[in-house]
Amino acid sequence: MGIKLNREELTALLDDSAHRLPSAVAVRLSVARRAALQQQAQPSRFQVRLHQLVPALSAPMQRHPLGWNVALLCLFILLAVAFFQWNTPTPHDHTELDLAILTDDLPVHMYVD
Amino acid sequence: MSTSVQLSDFLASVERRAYKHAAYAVRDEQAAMDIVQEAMIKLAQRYGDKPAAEFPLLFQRILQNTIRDHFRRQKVRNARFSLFSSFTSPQSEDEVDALDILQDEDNASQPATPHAAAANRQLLALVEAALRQLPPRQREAFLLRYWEGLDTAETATAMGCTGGSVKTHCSRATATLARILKQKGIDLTWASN
Repeated sequence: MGIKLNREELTALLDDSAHRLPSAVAVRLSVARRAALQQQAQPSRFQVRLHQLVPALSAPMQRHPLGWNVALLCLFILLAVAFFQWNTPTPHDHTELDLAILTDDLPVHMYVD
Repeated sequence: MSTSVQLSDFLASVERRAYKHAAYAVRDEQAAMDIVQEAMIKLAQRYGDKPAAEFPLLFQRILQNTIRDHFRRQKVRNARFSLFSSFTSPQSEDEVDALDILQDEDNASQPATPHAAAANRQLLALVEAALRQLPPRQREAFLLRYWEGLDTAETATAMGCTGGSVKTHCSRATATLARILKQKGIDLTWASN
């Protein structure tokens, strides 16, 4: 025959063969596709909410040049301040302690240390 | 996250080629149809909520695994059949002959006609017959890499092997195809990339 066949021609031949499937096969394929679509995994309500929430939150961050870095720095500062505040005794705490010592009303566990 | 429409569009775009992939591998239209349906259902059930961009690779992987599962099941069936074959009548010989005839019909060595469309069909029949002669892994790599257009890494992922193996399979498949087609008078010119 002496026919030359390159890569593009070969793939075109295969494409052509896929497009010229018998109609019965094409119909069965579309039935199979519909059957598969009926069993498609649906995302849970939580996934949908999260999917909607993340872009809503991240859009303003991405518009800002520093974006997430600034947000993370702010969060870190906020947590550090909260931690420091939590562990610092207030004057009110000192007054209550003094009062308890003076009235011998101190709980036993205070002497343990 | 993908919608039902995206999944439907994707399946519609790949179902025919998936069927051909399966048909080349198993050489049985009914089995090929079952394989494609099973692969589509698996994709929809397990990965239907994944982004649509992930569908092509996932589907190819599922399809290839489903084809391999088919061969495993067939092997078990054949082993069972051979266990009981000594109790059967000589009719089983006839069944083998019938399958051989069916397979020859699939090869479609049709008489040449002067029309271009018929010549094209004949050329396609020769190419498909050559593809069927390839070892399964070589054919799988060749079709995924050159027909589906996956790159080496994607083909390796779909086949569950290394990129080096993909390159070897593709190279051998191309050489074998060229040799088979050469015998039929077709000169396969292949520029690898």
